Amino acid sequence: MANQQTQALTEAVFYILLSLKEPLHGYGIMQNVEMMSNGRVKLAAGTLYGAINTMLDKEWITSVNEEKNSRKKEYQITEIGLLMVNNEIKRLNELLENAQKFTGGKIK
Amino acid sequence: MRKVIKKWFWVWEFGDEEKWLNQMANDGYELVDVGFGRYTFDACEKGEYSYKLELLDHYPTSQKSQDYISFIEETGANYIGHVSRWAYFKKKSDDGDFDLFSDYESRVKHMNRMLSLLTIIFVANFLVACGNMTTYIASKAHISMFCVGLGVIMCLFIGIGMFKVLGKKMQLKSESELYE
Repeated sequence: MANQQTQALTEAVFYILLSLKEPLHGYGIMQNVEMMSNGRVKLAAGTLYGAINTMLDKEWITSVNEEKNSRKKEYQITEIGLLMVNNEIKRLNELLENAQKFTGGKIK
Repeated sequence: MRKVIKKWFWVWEFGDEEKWLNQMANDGYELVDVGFGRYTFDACEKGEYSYKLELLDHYPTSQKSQDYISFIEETGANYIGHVSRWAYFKKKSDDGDFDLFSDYESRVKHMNRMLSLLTIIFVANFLVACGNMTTYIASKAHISMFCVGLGVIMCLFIGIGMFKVLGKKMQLKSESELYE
């Protein structure tokens, strides 16, 4: 695998991370992502579950206020997660700058 | 008004099974229980629900699958039941499109689970056929030869099914070369 610092995050992962500044449960993430992207990105529950578990393993996010009786788990972004968001912002800026050079700054 | 229908779908026909369940819901019958080749329906409003099937990683009664199922239910879907590792979910059609997967990667993983299940069934059939062949060589009993033939037919049938799943997987893979 290539250097992970320069690898692109998937759109789903990026938007999930952006949703977790404050603790949020699974369904909240789905709604938030759909709202942020004006309905363009619709996360399906199974895909979201897989992404959440992978990010928990990598410690990009953490599971918070986990009470025994509360079935709804909430998640929040970690320091590592924030770093991943920052790396992605740099990468996206680079893409955007080059694209703007290509079009001369005009978007059709 | 309860209605029980006996019908069988093979692993690679899960898409047809979903379509059929959606069609039943469109005709006013919601699935309330599933068993091996047995579907129980109750009356519902026409088109009230949409259905999705998933071959889970673990047996549906295991803790890992229970965690997964409750996560899915929190997002507004309902778990109906399971047949072996296949879980059946429904969601109110008014709540928008229902899907369990929204990217190529998770769809491909689902296909891979089907392929490993089919591989196990294929190998088991093959080994039984080999065992019957040995019996035939030793005893020359016609019944053993008949069992060998049956085993070979089953292997071919499952093999074709595996190619169908593989075909769908390859199609997804090629799309994922360009899109996320």
